[in-house]
Amino acid sequence: MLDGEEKFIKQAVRGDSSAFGSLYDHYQPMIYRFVMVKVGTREEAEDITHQVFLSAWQNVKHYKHRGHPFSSWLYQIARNQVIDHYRSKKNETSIDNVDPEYFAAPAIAHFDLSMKLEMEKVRTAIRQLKPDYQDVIIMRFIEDASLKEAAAMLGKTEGAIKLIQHRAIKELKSLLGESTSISFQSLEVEVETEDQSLEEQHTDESF
Amino acid sequence: MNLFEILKQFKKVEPDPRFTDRSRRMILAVPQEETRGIRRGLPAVWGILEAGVAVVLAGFFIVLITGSFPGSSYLAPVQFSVIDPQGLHAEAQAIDMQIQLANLNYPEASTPAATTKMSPKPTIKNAAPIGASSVSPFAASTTPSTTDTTSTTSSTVSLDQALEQLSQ
Repeated sequence: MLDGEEKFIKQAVRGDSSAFGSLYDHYQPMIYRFVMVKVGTREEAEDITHQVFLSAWQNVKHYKHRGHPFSSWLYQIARNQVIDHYRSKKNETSIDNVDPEYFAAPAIAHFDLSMKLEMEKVRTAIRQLKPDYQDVIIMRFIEDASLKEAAAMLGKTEGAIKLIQHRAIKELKSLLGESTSISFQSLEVEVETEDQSLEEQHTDESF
Repeated sequence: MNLFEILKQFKKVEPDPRFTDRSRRMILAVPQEETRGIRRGLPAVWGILEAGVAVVLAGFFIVLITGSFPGSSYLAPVQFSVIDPQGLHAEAQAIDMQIQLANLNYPEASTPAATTKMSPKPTIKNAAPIGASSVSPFAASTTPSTTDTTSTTSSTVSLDQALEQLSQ
């Protein structure tokens, strides 16, 4: 969460563009990653991210704090934009007519080749998951959100997030299959260990 | 390679700084829609009016259903305490009588030809020695050969007698 976020939000609601600019700087990379995993190319991810923040800026005056973080509002806009994107894309092109090379994502171009290939495999598998599963995988494993944070951002209970996460990993495993060299034995264990260390950190801070 | 590690790598994905800069400037250059003034004020006033009308109507119907409006006794067209059950019963009886009379009048108003068909002549001639004293309205049409005036007179007599009998 951004320092002094509430103040920035209040100012942005009143129409202060510089306050909204601060919110943009903080949340834009997260929203970009969220969108980039869900769509095919960098251009699409950039277009959708731009639309998300444009829509947020035009509607921020109607924003009301209902206990959820500001990011959950932005993620909701992003989800809607991705849905709209696929809906409009369906009418425009057929997947059979598109060159597979088109889907190579330049956003991950700076990684070494083997990593790039693995990332593309994983990303393709994630994109085949249900939207809810995608969201939880992105929040929990890419954005490193705790169960509580993920629950707040996705508007679900922690129990629901746990359940979705378990199912999402199971499905991701089956999608990646045995053909890949990726191992996922320790995925949930590592996340649980991280959660525990985070909880301990919070406890220490509170003391 | 571990899936967990691969997913972690995605966090290193950053948008192109040129895109970020361009997008930021473009978004913040867009003016926010005017939130004050007539365009925003009218829907707000309309919303309040709608809510007010809804509440008033709901209240009115609740009062109407429960009948607990304090001025209802003054506004009511009939005061229930005035109504006499016996009188009502008598009125109901009178209404029944009118229905009977209407039934009595029906054959009288009908055409002689139809009345003739409806009443079998031999039976009436034999079964009604006192003629017009019969309560049956069909007695009025026992003599189809006579004129309309005659049949009307006889039917009037029979009706009167019927009424007398009923009143007794």
